[in-house]
Amino acid sequence: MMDRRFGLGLIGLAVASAYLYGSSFIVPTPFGDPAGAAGLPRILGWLLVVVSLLIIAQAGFSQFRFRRQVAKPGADADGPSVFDTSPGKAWLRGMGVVALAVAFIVLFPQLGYPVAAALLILGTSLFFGMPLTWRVPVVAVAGAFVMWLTFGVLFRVRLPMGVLEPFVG
Amino acid sequence: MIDALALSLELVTTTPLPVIAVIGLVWGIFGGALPGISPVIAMALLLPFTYSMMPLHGIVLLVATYIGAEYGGSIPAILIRTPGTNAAAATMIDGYEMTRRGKASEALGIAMTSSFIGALAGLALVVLLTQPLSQLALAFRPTSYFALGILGLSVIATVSGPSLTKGAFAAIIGLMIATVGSDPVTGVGRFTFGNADLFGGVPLLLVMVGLFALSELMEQASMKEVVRPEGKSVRIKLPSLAMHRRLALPNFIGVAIGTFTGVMPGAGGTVASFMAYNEAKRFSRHKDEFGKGSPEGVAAPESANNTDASVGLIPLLSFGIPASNSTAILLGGFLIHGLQPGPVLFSRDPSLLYGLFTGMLVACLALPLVAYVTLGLSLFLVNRPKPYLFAFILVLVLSGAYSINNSPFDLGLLVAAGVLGFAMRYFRVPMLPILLGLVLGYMIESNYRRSLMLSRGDHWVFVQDPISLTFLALAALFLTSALVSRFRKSLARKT
Repeated sequence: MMDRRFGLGLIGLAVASAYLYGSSFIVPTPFGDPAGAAGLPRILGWLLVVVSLLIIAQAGFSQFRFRRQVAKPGADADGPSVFDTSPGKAWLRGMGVVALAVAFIVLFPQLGYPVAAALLILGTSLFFGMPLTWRVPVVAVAGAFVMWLTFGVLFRVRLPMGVLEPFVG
Repeated sequence: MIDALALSLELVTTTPLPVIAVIGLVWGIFGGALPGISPVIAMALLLPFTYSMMPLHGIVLLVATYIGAEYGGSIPAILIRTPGTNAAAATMIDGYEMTRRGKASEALGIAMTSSFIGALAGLALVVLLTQPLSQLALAFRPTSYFALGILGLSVIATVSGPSLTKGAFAAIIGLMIATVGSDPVTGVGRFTFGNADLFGGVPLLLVMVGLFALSELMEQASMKEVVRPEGKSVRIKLPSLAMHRRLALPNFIGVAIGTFTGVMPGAGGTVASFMAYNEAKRFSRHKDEFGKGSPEGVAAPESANNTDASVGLIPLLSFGIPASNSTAILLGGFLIHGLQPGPVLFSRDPSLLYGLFTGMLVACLALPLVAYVTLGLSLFLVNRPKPYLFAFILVLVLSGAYSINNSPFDLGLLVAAGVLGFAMRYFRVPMLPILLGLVLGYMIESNYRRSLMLSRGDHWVFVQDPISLTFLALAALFLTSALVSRFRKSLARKT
């Protein structure tokens, strides 16, 4: 298995390239200072290139050493973590949380905050392994109501009511 | 001094400050008690709420949360052998053994008393040292602030964990995020892609909540559910006078070590706790009891991590440099109100400093009572199924972020910061350097460019200013010693 630092280094190079490209669009101003608005971004972009190459070199060196010492494949020098057992599954589960958050962001202007919050509590509870019993929807509805009271009533945040709009005026 | 006392008394009697301090304390105790919710996350979850509050109230809320969470971590460590915070891992060794021997109430009482002693001793040091140190900085010029920012960034040498390159990687990413928005000198837009929402920069608050709270949920989703045993009904039993005498030395050791680690960037409460545990064992007359339910083994780590938490505020309040994740969140609390901790803030508005000290004192004094009253609810929360806990945190994070500007765009930024945080966890890139880059980026860039404008492009200006020269030399010394230490360690591993 490839050392995780290769991936980090490659991502770093991609980010640095995009950042340097973006910095070329910074408009120079005639009243600027010696460094200019693009000065620091350019330095940072190139620094990231150097550090990313260093990380890739470190990963390559470790891989070479591991091969010689027949060490544990795939792990880097920092010791085991939750991602070592099944990294693909870990990413998939992690992105599940993102999917739930994105679904909430997309749905709550249409459905309204209380309904979207109840669905989010329900979905997240099930996603994290809660067995579906009558309690889960009850907790979701009660929890959404408490959240709406906290943010909408106590803190007076303007929350869309969506499908509940006719009932609350 | 008399003015300060009068102001403190006025704040306690005529403003909601004590109530806010107690609310923060309660939230902190619950956050610390819930395994997986570190003090940082408990504070990050509160950040959006502080946005609409008065600056002093918001900052006191965060500091009180910080104090409460350091104690709260000991509750599950003692009762169910699961430290609520990393720093409570040392408390768990003897705390849980005491529970096994039917002395859970005594262990909780010792943890609470030692936390109280540690927090109070730390507060005394903060009060004594912050203002004199911040007065030093009144002589600062743009060159000095630039060098101070560089000194702050040099902290990454000690907070980067095993890999300095990953620390540097994270700091650069943080600095890059800080460049998004209008340029601090010319006002030119940078990396905004024509989006008006980005012109004011990426809100620090959203990045912090995303990096810590959302990415924690994402990581928790990758783990298996841990079934928790039902907690028995316990109460806090305060130590007797004889026990207080026995605990005097370990408490003193804890305070001394917590003071040392508190001002040392990167050391943190966990290191303080374990060092205090070891030293308390070394000087104890009951060495054989350690590991089998020693009261001293509970007292020393608790006083150490609470002192460390309070003393860690000194570099933040004096110079605006955070030395830990928790103090970085606290710095965020200052910045979202447009306040930069340091000498200028406290010379302009000393009431904020006194108010903060007063709030901390109220939180420290209220700790024993609040800990006693909230124990039952803490146990109830600790025993709730984790899926419900995570579901409520996710709703809280998203609702809190939305409440700032009523902007779905903010929610998108929050999710992006969460994905970044999760990726950093996956690649084991440390979090603090990215925050250091983010909060120090503006200070470094704006003061560097102002200095060059004043000197007409002459870089010697940074060496000609004695304060700047001292800071740059300290930063170089800091980096060099960290590199030498790493090199020695790697040599020792090879031999």
